[in-house]
Amino acid sequence: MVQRNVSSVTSRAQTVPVAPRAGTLLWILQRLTSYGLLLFLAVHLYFTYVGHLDTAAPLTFEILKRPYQVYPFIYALNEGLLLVCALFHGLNGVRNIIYDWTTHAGLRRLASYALLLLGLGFAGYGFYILAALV
Amino acid sequence: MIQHDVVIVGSGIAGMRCALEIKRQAPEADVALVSKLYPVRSPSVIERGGVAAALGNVLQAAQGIIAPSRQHRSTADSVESHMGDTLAYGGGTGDAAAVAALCGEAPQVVYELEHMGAPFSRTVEGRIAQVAGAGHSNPRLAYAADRTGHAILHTLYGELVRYGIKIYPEWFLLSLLVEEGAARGITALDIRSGEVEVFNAKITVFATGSYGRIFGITSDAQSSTGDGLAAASRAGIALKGLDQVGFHPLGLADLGFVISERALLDGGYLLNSAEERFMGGYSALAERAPLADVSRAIASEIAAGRGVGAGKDHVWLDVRHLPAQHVREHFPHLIEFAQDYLGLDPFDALIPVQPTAHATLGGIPTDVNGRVADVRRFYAVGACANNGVHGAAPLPGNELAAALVFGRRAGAAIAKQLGEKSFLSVPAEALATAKTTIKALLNQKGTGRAATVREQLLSSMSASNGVQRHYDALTEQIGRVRVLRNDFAGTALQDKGTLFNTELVEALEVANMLEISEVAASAAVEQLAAVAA
Amino acid sequence: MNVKIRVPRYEANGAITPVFQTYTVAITPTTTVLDALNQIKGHQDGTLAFRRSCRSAMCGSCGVMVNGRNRLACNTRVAELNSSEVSVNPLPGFPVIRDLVVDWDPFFAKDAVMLPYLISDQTRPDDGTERLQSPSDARQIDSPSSCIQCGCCSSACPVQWTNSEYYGPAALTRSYRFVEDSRDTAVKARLDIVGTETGVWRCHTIFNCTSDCPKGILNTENIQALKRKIMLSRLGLGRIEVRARVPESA
Repeated sequence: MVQRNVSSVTSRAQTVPVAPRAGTLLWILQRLTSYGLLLFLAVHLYFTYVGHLDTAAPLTFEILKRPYQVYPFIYALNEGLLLVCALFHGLNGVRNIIYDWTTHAGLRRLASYALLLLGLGFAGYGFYILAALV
Repeated sequence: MIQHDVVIVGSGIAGMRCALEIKRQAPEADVALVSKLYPVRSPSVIERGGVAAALGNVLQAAQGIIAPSRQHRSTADSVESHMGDTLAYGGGTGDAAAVAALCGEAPQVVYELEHMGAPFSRTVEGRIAQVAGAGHSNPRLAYAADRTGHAILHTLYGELVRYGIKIYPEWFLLSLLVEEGAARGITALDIRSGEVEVFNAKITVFATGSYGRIFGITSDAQSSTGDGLAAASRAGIALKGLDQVGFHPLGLADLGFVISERALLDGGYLLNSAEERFMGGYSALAERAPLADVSRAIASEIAAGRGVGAGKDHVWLDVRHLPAQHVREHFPHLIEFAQDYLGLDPFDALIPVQPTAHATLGGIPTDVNGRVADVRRFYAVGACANNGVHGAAPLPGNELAAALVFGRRAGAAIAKQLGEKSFLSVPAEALATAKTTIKALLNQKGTGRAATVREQLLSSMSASNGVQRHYDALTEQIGRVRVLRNDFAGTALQDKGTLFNTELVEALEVANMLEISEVAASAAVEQLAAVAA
Repeated sequence: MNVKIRVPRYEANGAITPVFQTYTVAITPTTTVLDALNQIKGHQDGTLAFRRSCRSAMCGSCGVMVNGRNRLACNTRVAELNSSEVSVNPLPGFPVIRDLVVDWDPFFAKDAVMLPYLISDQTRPDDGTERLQSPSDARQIDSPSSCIQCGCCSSACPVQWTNSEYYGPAALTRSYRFVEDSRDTAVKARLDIVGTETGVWRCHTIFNCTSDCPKGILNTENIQALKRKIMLSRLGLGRIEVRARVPESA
């Protein structure tokens, strides 16, 4: 990070870190995934719970699997996007907290990569399950 | 020792404008500002009304032309008209050359501010908006909402940042170093560390502001204690005209903050204890009379026992009949003051006001370029300088204009001669003397408190040196100030530390105020004696 | 009426933990917090350190935390707080030099990095007069340019408490004041400075800065406006440069 020295207007010389222009895309994605969550989560919750309340039967794997067969492709797409949105939104939120919490560049980079790996891991596992359900 | 080509003491509008002009005309010049405040905290921010300049952007409403035509310029306003108003308002005692310089260059400094990006309010055709002010024969006050001083100060501060001009914030001026008739710099106290330093400069400029704080009721900041004037006086410079103080009639009761006189010009009323308008009895212009006349009228009402409030020393300002929208738009500070400080609703209640010391005119005598006659390499600009431009009373808006115009002129004059100047040595004992002063004050023994001395000084100065002055009261006041100076020698500081010792700073300020008060009271006595003779 | 004023004292150089001290002050309905502090300093304890200058809410010297809210000591009446014990603290998140005195240097250094001056290649009129600006364009910068740099906003920001690199709402509002100025043509450069991980992207719209501004400046909203402009410029959408709506002239 570039350090700008300011000494003309202050009583003691100061350095102000000036970060490179970055963060816009992540912020936009954070917003977009929040809208995505609203939509995909609503669909997911409806078919998982609300749509089956009348059955009075306990929630079983069969019930959970049913929407995939009733709405092939569309429902899987919803679940896939929900997975992506939830992972990105949640993990980027954690990244934001870390960026607020520490200014240490190394720690920040470490946390970013760790979260990226975590996200990729969860995504891989999620899509593996999804493929099995479809 | 710290060395700079030019050391400017004070970071208000005048000091900043001076620094900026030096830097513009002599880019290699090493200019530094030393201030006891951070620059944007300077008391210039409280100047609410406009800056007077004959731009001629708005036609007189009296001529019946309200809808402005495209690209119009008022033909009514001119530099000559501004000059005439300035001289007339100052009772004809203004210095003609200074007035010509002020009025002639005021439009240019205002345009320059606009070029720097000052957020002026605008007319419908996009020009700098101007309103009428008391004593102006044309709408001449260029303004930025109701915080013109703030807008100008922050704009100039931005320019200092742009040019990288060195600022020493929170350094308190201790003394002006003069030897063999030439200024060599200053000594100052770093408030944060408690260290005393010598600043050596080829040219020293004072822009230390007013001394309004010697009055109990004043619109001035708590930091306007005349430090520069006291330092100049200690260096042997005879201060000029310290008795001349402009009083503003619309000081908020007990607090002294000024409510813009536009509240009167736009139709506000002044009421006495019988809730009757009284200005008609004093002037044909009623509430629209010159501010000094309004102040005197209020003082007469109060003297006649028709004042209001606990001490019967206020009158009422009534704006309840003005359109609420107009008040909100043009006098937001009036609403803010009434609500925040008095807990009143101005649309519903009367506002207590009293004359307040608003413009201190006396100061270090200078010529139109800010040069001080007695001391070479020494300049003074802004409210701490007296070049006679205001005469007996400052035309509203002229103080801001004077800070800008004469700050700029001094800067230009300094830039021109800086190349041929070299550093002069500072007196050998300068640092030791300054350190001794601080040490002596820290170790001063006694039972009294500097704050008590200050309170007694302020109330007695307001009582004797106010709008109405009497010979006996003033001579008595000189004696009282001497007694107070004696009392001050018997005060002790509780804070003996070096780290941000604000008690030490306040004690230094009280010492300066005592020094200035004595000169001011003596000048007032002389003035009264001269008038009597 | 008597009110207790509770103030933290940082006695020695570098002391991190304050000792709290309580003073009893007689107040009237119009006594401000600053008046109370002055009373304490003048007559009870000269060692209490705080800043003050204009006392009319214009200079920004006396920003302190009063009963948990950042405010100006000079325009806060003790009576309006409705409490028999008033706690006065230095602005949170700023390094404390002593008692109520905080270190302003980092704050003003960040402000200086915002290029707090007009950068314009707009041509000026040949006759040396003012550039034209419509009243609505002037009004656009009216609120952000009324900032008095009292620090109440930046100090109220939880992000600033943990992250000293964040520019903070005061500096960002300063940037916004120039971005919105129809005369300024360095909008791109300004957005590049604030569109960073030390700038607007650290803002999580907590709104403390808006609610604690003594001048009623909508700081969070200003930061959001900056984000919107940066986003649109990155996506290549919308008009980023503020075009001066210069009034028709002959």
